[in-house]
Amino acid sequence: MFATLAARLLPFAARFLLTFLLLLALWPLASPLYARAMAAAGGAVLDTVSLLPPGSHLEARDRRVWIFRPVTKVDGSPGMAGINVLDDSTYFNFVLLASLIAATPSLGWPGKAKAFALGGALLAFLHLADLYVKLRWTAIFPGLRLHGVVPEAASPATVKSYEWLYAFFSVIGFGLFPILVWVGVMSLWWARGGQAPGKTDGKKRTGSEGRPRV
Amino acid sequence: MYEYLKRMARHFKLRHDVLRGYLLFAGYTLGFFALLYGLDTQLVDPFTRWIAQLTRAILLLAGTQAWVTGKVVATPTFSVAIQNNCNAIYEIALFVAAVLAYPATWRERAWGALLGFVALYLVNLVRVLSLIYIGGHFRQYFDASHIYIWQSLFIVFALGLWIYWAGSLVRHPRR
Repeated sequence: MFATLAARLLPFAARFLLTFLLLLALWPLASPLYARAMAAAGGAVLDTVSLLPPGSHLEARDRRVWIFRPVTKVDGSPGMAGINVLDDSTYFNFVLLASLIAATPSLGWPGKAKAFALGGALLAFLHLADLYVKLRWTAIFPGLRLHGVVPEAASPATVKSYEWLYAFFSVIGFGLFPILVWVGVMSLWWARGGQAPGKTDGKKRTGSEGRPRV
Repeated sequence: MYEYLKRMARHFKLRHDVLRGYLLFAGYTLGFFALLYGLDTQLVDPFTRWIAQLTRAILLLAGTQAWVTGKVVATPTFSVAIQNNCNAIYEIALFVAAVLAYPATWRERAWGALLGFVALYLVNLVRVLSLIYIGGHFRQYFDASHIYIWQSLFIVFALGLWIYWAGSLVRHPRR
């Protein structure tokens, strides 16, 4: 059984590594574009649902997304603060997701493209959630006073909740999210016998025939 | 809530046991995270310091001078601070959550958890040692190795290990 499984896992691992290295080489080009897209789209979405603090805006600088927002300094004077709320060490997991989807066996390239479109949208949503959590946490973080800024008023329970959310996204999010998204997207496809999220490589499959052999 | 999720699962043609597996995994993941983050000082910190000491011992055995201060391992050419993302404890927790969520006997789960702990701990030691080496000799590649390559490969290794355990070592899945 081990030999059979190894025979299935090794091609998967080889395809994964190949795609991963290729995308890693392209990453310096793609990363600033994603940061810009996230700043533009994220700013628009948060503004639409009234979650962007008044007078604030998101801005991409190189590979990072920053929020510039009005703050009150400890001496009572107003000011503007620029805080990094998303960087590419967080959203590099896009490459991880893309490599996992590219390496998935028994799924044609049109199917992989659709899986990546759906999975990428889910992962981008999680990045936006990550950005929002950091945006809130860096506004109410009690240690801000040490940096000369008065934290926004928040109940102890709210501060604690955002501290834990911030830790969860920072510590576990990078690895957990792309794998959850990959398994989720692939299980939708498995459930339809290999015909979703996109049609596969044109070969007719039914039932377990269409299942990836990982 | 569960009935609603079951309806959603039916809509997406997800099997009941798959939905159950997802929910169990989510529950165990949150539980382990709460446990580890809540016991950061009592559990995670000593675990990380032990990795730093073990790294130093291996470096000394290999003939490299090394010192440890808390969670920082220093050599004459480079030093690293082992943080939560580099101590493997949260990845081990994710692995164990996935093992517990899979339909297997408790004996198989126990072996799976042990296998995951040992394998991930050892691979993480290799990660820390390799990063110290890269930092000391190829400083310009340290960030890419640390942030992009090792973080990604480590979680994929954990995924591969889980697939191996679920596909090879679990003989009697409970349905």
